[in-house]
Amino acid sequence: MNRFQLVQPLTVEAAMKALSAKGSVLRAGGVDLIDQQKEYLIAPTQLVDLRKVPGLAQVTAKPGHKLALGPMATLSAIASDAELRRLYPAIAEAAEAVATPQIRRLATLGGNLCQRPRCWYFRSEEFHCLKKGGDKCFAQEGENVWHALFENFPCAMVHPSTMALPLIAHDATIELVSASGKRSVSVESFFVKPEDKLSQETQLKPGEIITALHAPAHAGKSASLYVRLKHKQSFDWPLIELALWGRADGGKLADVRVALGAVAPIPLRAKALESALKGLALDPAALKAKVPVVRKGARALAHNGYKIGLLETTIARALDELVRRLKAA
Amino acid sequence: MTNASKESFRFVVNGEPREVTNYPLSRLLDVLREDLELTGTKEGCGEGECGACSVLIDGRLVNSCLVPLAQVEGATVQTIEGVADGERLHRVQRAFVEHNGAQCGICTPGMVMAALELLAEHPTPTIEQIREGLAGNLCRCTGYIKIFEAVVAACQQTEGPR
Repeated sequence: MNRFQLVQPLTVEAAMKALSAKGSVLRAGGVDLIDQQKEYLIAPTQLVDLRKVPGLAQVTAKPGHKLALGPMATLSAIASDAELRRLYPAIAEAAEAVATPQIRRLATLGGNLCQRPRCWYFRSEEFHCLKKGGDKCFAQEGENVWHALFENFPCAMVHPSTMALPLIAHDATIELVSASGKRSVSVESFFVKPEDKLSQETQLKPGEIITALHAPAHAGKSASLYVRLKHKQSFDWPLIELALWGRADGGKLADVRVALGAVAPIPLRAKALESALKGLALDPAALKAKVPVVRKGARALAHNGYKIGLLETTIARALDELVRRLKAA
Repeated sequence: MTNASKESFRFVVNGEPREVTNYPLSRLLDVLREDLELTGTKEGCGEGECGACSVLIDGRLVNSCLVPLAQVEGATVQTIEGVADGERLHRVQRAFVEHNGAQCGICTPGMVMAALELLAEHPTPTIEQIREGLAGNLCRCTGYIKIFEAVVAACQQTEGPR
């Protein structure tokens, strides 16, 4: 392993300065970072630890106010905040579904959004894949049972961020700061497709730091949820995961957002399905009749065709639950 | 592993104030085992997946292989050595013994630490809460059922101070 050192800046400005040094990498929870170092994906000379920078770990959910989450908030802090769970249930349910109790104590929201893909070819030192500058995506014709159904060319990875899904469903934005100033982007547009950029999965610029995430104030008669389907009952990556947000008005589904995970190289917003669902009566049968719309654009690889059926079933079950929650709202 | 110089860090381990001089990025797991000679905490995968190295930091269950020494400055750490009261086993440990919750024993210290946190949060957990509470601890021997039974039994033991 390469030699590297730890610096612990006390302000965002000091962190940006430290990050500008050659070979510097940000450290939040330090979970995926260790994996990446062990897999020789990165060889930093300096880790810039954000733990001592104050104000980056907030979880502030209040009725009538926009939601504010810090990038250093741990997944267990997010999962255990009662007010967040009441107002933004999809976000708490997603945080609770990730990894193990031990990892959720360390893993952060920012780290979950910025972690690298778990594709076994990408993570293996033995395979110099397209994303690592090679000339081939080995998943296209190789072992692709966990891989993407949508947008799966030229790279068939699935994006590993669970937390992106409820944040997209809740229309959240990310606040970013760098030496050239501050900017704000939607969580949905934060992620980039392999066809647009192979070497990274987000539009984070070199030296840029996430300082906060915001979502609009909870609207009346709205509800959200997160569900995942996995191979094992606990501690497993999802085969399919999704977050759903909806707002009811006059007995109809007036607005809806659907974010799908484990099916594409980005956390995927299902816009065609949203359009088909919008304006329908809050009747589970009527809503579920539109589910096959989600198939449009799917391109199954040799071993992941099963995901199409799973996806439709998961969405149908989630719509049942959304209707139940909206009627109770 | 690091070109930074060694530094002194102070924290409390199993109720005793300790001072360790080592690299800031030393793994807490190695510091516990090598500097403090607390070898009850085991190394399994070394990347946060197996839970063999689980300890409590300020009462929170974490994988000590993922925690650098610098991160525990001022914290309170509890390891498996701090669970029993002298020769008197904690009720969770007693239940593991009585219900064959351990076979080869490598996962057992981590399992006990996870069960302690689980029971602190849910004194009478459902089987689903036990499954989720122990989800970060892999066991290759028992098939988990004996471990779940031990945790259930530990909740039912009421005699003694704990």
